[in-house]
Amino acid sequence: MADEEAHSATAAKPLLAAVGLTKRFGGVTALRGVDLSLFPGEVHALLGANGAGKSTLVKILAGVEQPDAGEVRIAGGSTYFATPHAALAAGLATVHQELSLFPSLSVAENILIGREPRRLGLWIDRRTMRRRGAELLKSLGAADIDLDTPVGELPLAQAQLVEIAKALSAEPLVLILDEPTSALSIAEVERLIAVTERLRAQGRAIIFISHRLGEIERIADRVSILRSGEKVGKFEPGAFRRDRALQLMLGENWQEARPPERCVQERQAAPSILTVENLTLPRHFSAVSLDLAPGEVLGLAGLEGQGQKEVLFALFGLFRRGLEGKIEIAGRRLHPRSPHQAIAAGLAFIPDDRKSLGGFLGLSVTQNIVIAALDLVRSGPLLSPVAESALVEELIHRLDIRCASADVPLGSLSGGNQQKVVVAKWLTRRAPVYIFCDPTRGVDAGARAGLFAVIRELAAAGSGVLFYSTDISEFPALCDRVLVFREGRIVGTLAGAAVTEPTILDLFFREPGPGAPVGARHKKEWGDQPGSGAEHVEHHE
Amino acid sequence: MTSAVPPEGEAATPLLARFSPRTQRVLLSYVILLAIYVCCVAVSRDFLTWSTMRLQLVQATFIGLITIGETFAILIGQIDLSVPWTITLSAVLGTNLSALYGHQWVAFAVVILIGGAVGLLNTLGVYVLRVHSLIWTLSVNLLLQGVALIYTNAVAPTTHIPALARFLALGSVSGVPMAFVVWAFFSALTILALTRFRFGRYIYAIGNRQTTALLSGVPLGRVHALVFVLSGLGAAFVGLMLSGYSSQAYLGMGNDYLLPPIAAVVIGGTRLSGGDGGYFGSIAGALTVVFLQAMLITLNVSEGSRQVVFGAILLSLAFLFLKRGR
Repeated sequence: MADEEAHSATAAKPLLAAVGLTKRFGGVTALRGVDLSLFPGEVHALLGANGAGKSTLVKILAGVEQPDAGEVRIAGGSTYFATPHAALAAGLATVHQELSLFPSLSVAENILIGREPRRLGLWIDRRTMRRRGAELLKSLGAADIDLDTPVGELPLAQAQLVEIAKALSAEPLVLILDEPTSALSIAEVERLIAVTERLRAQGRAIIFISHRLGEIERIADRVSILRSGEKVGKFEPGAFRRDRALQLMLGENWQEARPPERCVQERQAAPSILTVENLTLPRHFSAVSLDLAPGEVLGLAGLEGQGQKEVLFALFGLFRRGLEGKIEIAGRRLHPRSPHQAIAAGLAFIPDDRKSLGGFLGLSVTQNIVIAALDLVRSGPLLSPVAESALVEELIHRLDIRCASADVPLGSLSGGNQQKVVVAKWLTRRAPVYIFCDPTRGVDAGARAGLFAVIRELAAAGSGVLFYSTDISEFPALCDRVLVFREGRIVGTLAGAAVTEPTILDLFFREPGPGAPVGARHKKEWGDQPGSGAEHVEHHE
Repeated sequence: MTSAVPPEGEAATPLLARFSPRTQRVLLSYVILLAIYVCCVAVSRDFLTWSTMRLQLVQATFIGLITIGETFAILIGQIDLSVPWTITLSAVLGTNLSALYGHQWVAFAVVILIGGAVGLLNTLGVYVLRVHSLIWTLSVNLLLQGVALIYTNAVAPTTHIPALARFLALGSVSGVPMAFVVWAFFSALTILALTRFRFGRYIYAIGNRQTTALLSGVPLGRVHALVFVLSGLGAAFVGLMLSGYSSQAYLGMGNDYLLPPIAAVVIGGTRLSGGDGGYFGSIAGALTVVFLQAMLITLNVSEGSRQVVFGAILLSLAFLFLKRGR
């Protein structure tokens, strides 16, 4: 780019330059011809919606993924990094969102892991190790962290500083901070910003990724914006403008987001089908209250990891312990301790990842569809093949599932058809409440339209629907009302024509005021989360 | 093994493609059974006589009954290695207590109590505490061994065997061995349970993907408990039958029943990774294992070499099936 060349002509040469990076996953182009250059002593922010290609770009720079085209030039050489190790050796360190520390090892051991100073090349020189660790922490202004504490006992914010110290122990020229603030409280964010400024003053180049526009305004020198895998714009130092950035992130015509075409359903005097009062799960969400009317589609929006998914998991009985608050379905109290119970109480749950959660790839289409409705196809103790196939054939027809026969394994169907089978599983019983948890991930546009039609049908037939998606554009297209989550709390409610992408985004990004409560999430330690539903699910894997 | 019957193998090839992989594996297990039987006959004409076959069928019954629980366990992706000393403890306790109280039904009560208790203990470790079933059930086996040793130190095993146990193991109903009738009955029930009961659907669902099963409302805890209790009951029941068969209960009588049932499940085409297979193949597997043992005995192979050969054959079969499974 011309202006970048101008920059390089007037100032130092770039430490790192990515040129024309392209990456495809199957038929999807995650990154298309992206350029990026980094100069010493600058903070370069990357901005983009979920799925815009930020993580792919970071992974290529860090050597985790290899580009299909393009190259990364570092210190003049032309290369890309075949492994994370190669990237590190070339002077590029990454602090990922998920920390890569060993909870049972001490702070000093973690900082210098794999790079321990040795005596005679044999045993570890503990004194030098402690000294190096202390130096690195001090350079971050974090000398207050005790070198001998096991990292698992540190609060998340301190653990993150340890992670940064660990990255700095390799003396990198370029440091990538991937959403370092997403899990931090306001005071902790301040400290991280101070640390970032220090690193910049040391002459390093920093790639800073965050969804919070306020932080970016404060700390970034230059900002690059990605959308759908392309770099759609950038701001030079001092030129950043929030509204323009949102526009670039969402596309030029975002302001024209139409008011929903369907008429907003009158909320009838009919009693709510689902009432939730003050539902709290420590470290995930707190004081969540909502009610759902029959025939209503209620969206739970928020950036990833703001607790909205966990609320849905909790309703479905995936958190056995620690859940407080009141849940009523059609006037009856529910204490969900297992999906088995939740289903009996009238819930149906369509999960996000069809491969890992939704379907049994090795079992037949029939077996997949009837698994949640075995009580409906029984005659005495035996399952009736006749009743089974009648039920399955009807659903195959209704959802237009393309399969050679109902006896072929689910795994032999295309992705969209697999998702339809997973949905069909829950249409076998008329549940009063349907939970759709990011059901369109990895599903093509046609299948998505079909799925939306099904959801509207369910609502029209009198079920209540809770809907969560990582794609914001789906909320205006589908929902009667939207609750916006941030840091485990509902921070806003939008209804009817007010449900638009900009209004939702505005609630996402609006900085919490000084008096705003700090989210309950991650308040304690980041290490273990006993009894969490996520853990529960993973464990069963 | 298949080379022994080239006509079947070749003729079946074009047909095979019409069957699902699972059916193919079951067919293959019966081809192997046939091949082993042909080998047996080649070794000794005795295998054509009813008296020899009767003996083999009774032996196969013992393995086959244990294989029921083992098939369930492997289908949900677990394994039950607590079988040997469940057999022994149930036999020793059952016969002694029924002799003590002078009533043979006491023995059956003991079978149910021990089988149920072992099953629940295995559920506790494998499902509730989430210890790997290989480790947990093998440890339970050791624990049961200890209990049996303590008990027999205090009380000598009896030779007074309940009449019903003798009848189940040695009796006949119009020429057909009673043991075989028992096996046939439970086999039919097992196949029905796996194909037409809710329980069977739950088992395949769990074995296929436990997380999905959980999200589909499968009561994971109940199914695990039922599987391990059924496996424990099967082993305990076989213990009682074995005491009737050999007219005594003795320490170590279950030792030969650790791996053969698992071999039978694998030969029967059930995948050790779970979720795929069934009991119909396990029947062929149980018979194959028994014929294989009988053939090696007939060949007068010494005990040590017999074990080597048996182990090697099982290994290659397991390899054959596991490889096909991928």
